[in-house]
Amino acid sequence: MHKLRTIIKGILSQRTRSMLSGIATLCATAIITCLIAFFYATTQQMADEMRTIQKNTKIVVHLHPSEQRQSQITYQDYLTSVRPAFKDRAIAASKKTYVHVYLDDKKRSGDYFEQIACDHDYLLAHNLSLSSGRFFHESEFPQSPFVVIGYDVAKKLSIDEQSSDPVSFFVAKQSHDVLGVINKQQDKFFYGQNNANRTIYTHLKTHHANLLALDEITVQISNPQESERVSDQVRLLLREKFPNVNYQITDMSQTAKQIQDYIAKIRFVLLAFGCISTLVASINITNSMYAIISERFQEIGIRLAIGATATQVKRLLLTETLLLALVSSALGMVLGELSNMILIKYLNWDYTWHIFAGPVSFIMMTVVCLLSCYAPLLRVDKINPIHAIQRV
Amino acid sequence: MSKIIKIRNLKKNIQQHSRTITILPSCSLSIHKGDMVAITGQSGAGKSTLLNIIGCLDQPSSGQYYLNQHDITDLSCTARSLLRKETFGYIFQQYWLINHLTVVENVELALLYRSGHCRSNREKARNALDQLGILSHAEHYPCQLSGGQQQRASIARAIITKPNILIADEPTGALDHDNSMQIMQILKEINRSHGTTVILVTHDREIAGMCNKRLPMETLFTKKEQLYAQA
Repeated sequence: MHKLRTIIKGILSQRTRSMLSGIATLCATAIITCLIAFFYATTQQMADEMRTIQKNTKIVVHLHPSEQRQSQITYQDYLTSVRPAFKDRAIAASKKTYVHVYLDDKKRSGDYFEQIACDHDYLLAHNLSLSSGRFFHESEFPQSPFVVIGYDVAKKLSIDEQSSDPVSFFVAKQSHDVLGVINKQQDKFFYGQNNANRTIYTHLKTHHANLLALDEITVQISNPQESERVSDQVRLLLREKFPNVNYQITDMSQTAKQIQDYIAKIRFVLLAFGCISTLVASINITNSMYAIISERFQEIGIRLAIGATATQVKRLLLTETLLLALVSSALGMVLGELSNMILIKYLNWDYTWHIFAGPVSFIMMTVVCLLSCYAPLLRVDKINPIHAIQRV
Repeated sequence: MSKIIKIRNLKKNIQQHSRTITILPSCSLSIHKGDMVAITGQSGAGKSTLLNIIGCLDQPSSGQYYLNQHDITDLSCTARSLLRKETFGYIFQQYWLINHLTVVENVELALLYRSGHCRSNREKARNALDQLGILSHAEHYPCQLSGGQQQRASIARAIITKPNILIADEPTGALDHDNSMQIMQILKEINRSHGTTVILVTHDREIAGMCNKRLPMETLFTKKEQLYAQA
């Protein structure tokens, strides 16, 4: 206890220097605690990622342009009342897509001109649209195509949605039966505008020539090492069989590798940051130690004169530094762990808090502190007691 | 009485900007065990340098130094440290107490380096302070003491290890007359009761007169050096 008090007195005799060294050690320990935790977490994450990739390595071939992709646009939120005249005919699901409809074919514009696009499969998948009945397949009524119209259109054309009278009108010089009226929409937006009430929806009349049945091919690979070779083979096959089809191949293992490289870069930057922090702390401690020896030159001389060996003096200074390092590293460790907890909690960081990061950085910084003292302490060997006392 | 210190043609030079300066001309002397010797001389005569060499605080450039008939001229730093610890006690003109330690801790320090941490150290230190009449100031810091009290603390630190030789460099140089006399009485008492050899440096004739033996620096120089000094 008495020895400890003497050591603390020694530390406090150089209050400012000791405080600066302590703060440097504290900050470095806190930073390193966070970095180690992050480093470990990302290592684990990358390992998990790699395991997943090893299990599910696949190549995805994206075929484009995909016509189906274009059709996957909504009017799924609109309820359509099927007019009574058509209810008994509502027996088969439509597989067709709605596209552009023009009231005035020549001008390609009109009061109710709107772009219409809807995939019926999509509607069905979302359990939408018709309050009763269904859409019709075009093939059921080849001579009498039909449309679904918006509320405003029905009003303008004076079509009573509840009426059983068959109603038809010409769209692009062709008579269309009105299948149903979409219920009045309030604040629904369609292509950025509230046009649903003013829209006529009809079947796709012209099929696109290049309509493709699929837009994505997934190739599962059992051996991740083979992914590049398989990609080349797929490329070759597509070139031979479908020379006009554009495509893009995404190799999942390549993607994973890119992510890994990216994370590795971040980790490298963080590692560099940690090293720089340690180096700065180490330089600060070394500098402070030189300053302390210089300022306590006379005291060292007195100690040497009254019989202390250089080793004893070095041991004393080292003990003081060690105590300071232990206290500030411990505080830094606590600060680092708290920072970790706060960062994970409030920033929703996707990594697990590993408490061992603190003790590791604590040990690391204590060792760094001791090593930083080595060079300055060598000066004690060269001190002549009487020169030190007289400050020559 | 046996010779405890024997010095032959001891010389100290220092290098300054590629010039060699002699700060202690070749000198010889012998001191017997139990002597109380005052080395006197003018300022710059090399008294303190000689005393530092005798006290193993400094190393001579040439000559021989025998301590208890052992040649210790070329001892290593560590060996000189051990010798300082075992044989010598030091009293300095400016006391040189460590400011951030209390008086009793300062005194205890000498024991610490000699026998390590020991429960009895504190008690011994308090006894030494009691012996010198400053026990009531044991827990004070040096800056809270007067010059005379600091010098007493310094003497307590020097004698606590019961050294064979007590080295005192101008021990009364920073004190008034009364305090100087008191310190000299203490040193005489140490010399008389413990048989400690006391070697002190002073330019004060009265102080020197209180010692058994006076060694003016001029008499210590070898013949050639004496001629040089007279010239």
